[in-house]
Amino acid sequence: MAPAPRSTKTPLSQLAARRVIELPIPVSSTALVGALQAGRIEARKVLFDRYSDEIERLLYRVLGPDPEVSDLLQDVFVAALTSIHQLRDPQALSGWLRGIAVRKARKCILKRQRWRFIQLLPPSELPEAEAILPPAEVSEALRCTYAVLEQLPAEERVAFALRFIDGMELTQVAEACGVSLATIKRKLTRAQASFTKLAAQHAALAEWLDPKGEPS
Amino acid sequence: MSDLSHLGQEIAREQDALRAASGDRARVREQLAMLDLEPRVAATPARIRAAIAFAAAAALAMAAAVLLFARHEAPAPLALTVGNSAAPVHAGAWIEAGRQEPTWLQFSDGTRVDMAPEARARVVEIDADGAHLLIESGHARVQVVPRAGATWRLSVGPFMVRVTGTRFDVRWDPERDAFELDLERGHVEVSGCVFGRGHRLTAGQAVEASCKRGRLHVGQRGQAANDGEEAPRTAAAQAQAPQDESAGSAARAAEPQQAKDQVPRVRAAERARGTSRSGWRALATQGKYGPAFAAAEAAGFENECARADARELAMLADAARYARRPEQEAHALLSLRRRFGGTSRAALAAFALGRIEFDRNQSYEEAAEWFGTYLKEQPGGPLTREARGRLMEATFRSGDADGARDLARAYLREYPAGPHAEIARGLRSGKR
Repeated sequence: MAPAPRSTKTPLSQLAARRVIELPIPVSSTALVGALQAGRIEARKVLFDRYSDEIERLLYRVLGPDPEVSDLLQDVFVAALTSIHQLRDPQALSGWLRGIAVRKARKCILKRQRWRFIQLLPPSELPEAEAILPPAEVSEALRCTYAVLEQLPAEERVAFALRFIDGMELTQVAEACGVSLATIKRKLTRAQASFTKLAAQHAALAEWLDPKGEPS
Repeated sequence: MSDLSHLGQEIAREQDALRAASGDRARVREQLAMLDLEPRVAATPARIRAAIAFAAAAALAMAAAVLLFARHEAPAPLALTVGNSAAPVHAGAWIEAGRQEPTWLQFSDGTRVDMAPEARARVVEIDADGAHLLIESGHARVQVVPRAGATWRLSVGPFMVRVTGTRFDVRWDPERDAFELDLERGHVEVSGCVFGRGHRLTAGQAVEASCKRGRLHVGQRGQAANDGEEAPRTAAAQAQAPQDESAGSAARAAEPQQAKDQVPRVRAAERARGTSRSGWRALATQGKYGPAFAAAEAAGFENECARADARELAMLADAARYARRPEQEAHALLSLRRRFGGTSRAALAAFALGRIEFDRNQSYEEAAEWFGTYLKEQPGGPLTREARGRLMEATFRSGDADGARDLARAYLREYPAGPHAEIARGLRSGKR
């Protein structure tokens, strides 16, 4: 069959014969969730573009500058896209995504803690050790902060990072961790005490904290 | 503000600077766009109604999306215009040629799709490497400009046409369930339904196919359908086809009844193939590596490796690793290196093969070779520090203490506080 002829001039009367319908994703969370639940592929990019900065930031706060962050970032969005139908309230999209990110980060921490517990090799020979330590160019304060956080239980580490490094309000921390306000306050109290005590062993951190070992 | 909060603020500032420099988000965005996630697709008529309803809020939403996209510095997608209009057209747009007036899609890389009168298409997705178009009905002439890394896909009814650089005509009649492709230049791969897992066409070939009738016919361009040869089909496609595929009128007269009998088998077989072929992929992207590996094994792990692209081979290797099947993991990685040599994934595969040799096989000479290969193929890559540390250790364990000492000195110059620093200091001082 001969190729469709190309026309260089089009009478205005014929322009109406061509129809191009643009299908943008509106700004509201409701519209975006609707588009995602309807399976519109372009909505994925919109979701990522709107929320990836916040989610990546949250993962960094909890895990530190960790090579696994980019994998987890992808995991968070894959989980969100494959379970978007479970989101009943589109207005809660942002908090819902944060909850997924916190759960993924916590799972990553727990997996490493279990693995280290059963591993008998010294730390320098752990095959995955390089995935845990931050890159060489970061400051001592950053390195030591996460060295201390690694010694905290996962729940306390997450709560501490969200509250003191990300600066989240208590209610937001509680929502992201999926617990009550009272529970998160208890976890934070324990996390603060543990962090302050352990941080005293690191010169780079001790200078930040009160000489008596209590946060001022 | 407490001292802890001050410390936290300082840490946060430093992290945000690291994040800004990493480029991870752009990479993840690209990977996310390629994933084969379970779609949540409504029935077609409802989608069209919903699409028209969304068009009412066009300007503000598109501006916001473009601004957000630009801020994250992702590779810019190809620009697209339709016909003589200079207005940009975006993913999601429906395009319909006039009743007597053709139109065309013009991409910024020079690729062009001419649509005959009354042809209809939809732009499913556009990125920097190409686009995914859906030919809803009618005749389109496709001219794809060959570029390194170009990825073009056309969904034509139940068929998928993958293109890298070529010129061809394609037609789809949904009422007759008739697919035709006439390849002038280059090559394409067509998959879906009677094509089975994929059929490669070369320049000068033409193909006619029908899913409902289970028909597939490949010939030369310009020949009548009766003159060409039937294309070899996969066993699954053959199971769907009528017993007699000859082009006689008696066979054609029997097709409607045969088609009715075969439609359930065709669709069931297609669903089964689709499940086994895409099932492992969907499971792997959800992190369910054990079931993903089982699904890939059920479909034939080596066959899946032979058919997978680079990204999929990396996923198969991951699935095999998590399923603790090192031989299959190595097979996937070696396939990746053999078929996609020179790519960054192939370099990463070299690193992963080094880890297998070191951690599982204790074959330190081979491990050192693989880590060295990675460093050569991806100097300054994301795993450079780890590869240098591993190379140093593998070199020592393979018996080359002098070589290891030199590597240790070089390592400590670059990474004095790196994860292998302690080993390096021991090697340097000769205490290991």
